Amino acid sequence: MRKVVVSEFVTMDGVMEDPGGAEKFVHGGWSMAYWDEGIGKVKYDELFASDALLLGRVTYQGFAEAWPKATGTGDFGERMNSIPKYVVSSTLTELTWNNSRQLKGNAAEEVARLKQESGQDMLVAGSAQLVQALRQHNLVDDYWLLVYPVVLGSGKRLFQGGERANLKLVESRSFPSGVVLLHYQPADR
Amino acid sequence: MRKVFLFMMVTIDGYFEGPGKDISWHNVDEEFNEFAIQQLDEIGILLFGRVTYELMASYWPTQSAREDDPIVTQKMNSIPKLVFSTTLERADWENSRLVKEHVAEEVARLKQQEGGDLAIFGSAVLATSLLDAGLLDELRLMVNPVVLGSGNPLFKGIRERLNLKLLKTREFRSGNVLLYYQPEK
Repeated sequence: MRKVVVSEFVTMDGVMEDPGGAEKFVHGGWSMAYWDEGIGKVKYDELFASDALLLGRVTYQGFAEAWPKATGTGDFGERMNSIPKYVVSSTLTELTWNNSRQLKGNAAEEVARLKQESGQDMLVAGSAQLVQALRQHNLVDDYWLLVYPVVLGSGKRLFQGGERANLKLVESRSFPSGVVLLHYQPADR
Repeated sequence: MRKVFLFMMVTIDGYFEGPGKDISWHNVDEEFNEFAIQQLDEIGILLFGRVTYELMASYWPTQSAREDDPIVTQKMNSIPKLVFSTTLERADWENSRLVKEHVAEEVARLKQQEGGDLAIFGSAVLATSLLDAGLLDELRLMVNPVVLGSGNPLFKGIRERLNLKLLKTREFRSGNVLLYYQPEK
């Protein structure tokens, strides 16, 4: 069975919105100054362990705008642009990014069905609302959180509005730039 | 010069308390208690805002606290404490002093003195105001392996973006991860 891996950039105060700057949030791009090779390797390994992206509308639109135009991104960028993308949205009317499929119906059922297929991980990035829905239906296998040494005070928060849950820490690691990687799994696995 | 540090239990989603001041999620074990004792031994004065002071003053002097962990309890009760509040009339918890005004000046003055570090345990409002005044030297955030979904976020009310420098991390067997940060000047 395929795994659903949720990978997020978050601030110390739990904000996950627009770390890359593509969404024009007032604090957007807050993660960019902290990039280092170690973080690059984590993201690279994660992408190459996945053969599909699973995204909500807002993240999808930001990525669809930025990735096809990005230069100098090597085989990472090539994979982002080529692998299948499943976008969970009932309102999106145009899929502008290569190899995209829209999941319009019951997201939980569709994702559960995709998990039954054989294949590599399905990677979720950003997508606050989608993460909520996946969490609610126990469809998430791993959480990889990159915690940035920044407090923003505003912005969309990770896990907001969801239920209380205990997670199990699998691993923690820190990078010279001050970013901390926390890897969790649901406590009942 | 003494250091002012903040020690706070936080959730993965960046809350220091759940709705209704819920802190039932705090992940505490023997290893945590050993850490708490070591930390208390480094501290000269505990600094509180009213809310945390009242919460702690209603717990630490009790029999139940003494039974749960006698050593931590004895230290919490005997250590010198300062509570900053314009509305509290009295500070009755053992070894407490009430400061009604000029918080920043008082903290700056205490920092110049010799002695153990000044520590803030959980007082989010006080921590934010000392941070704004440039008086907070270190933040120790213990990330508990729990997601709440709602609550009071760390540094709610901060006026502008804050950049920090990670000093070190420590993992606990309970799944807590302690992150040490310094505000960037």
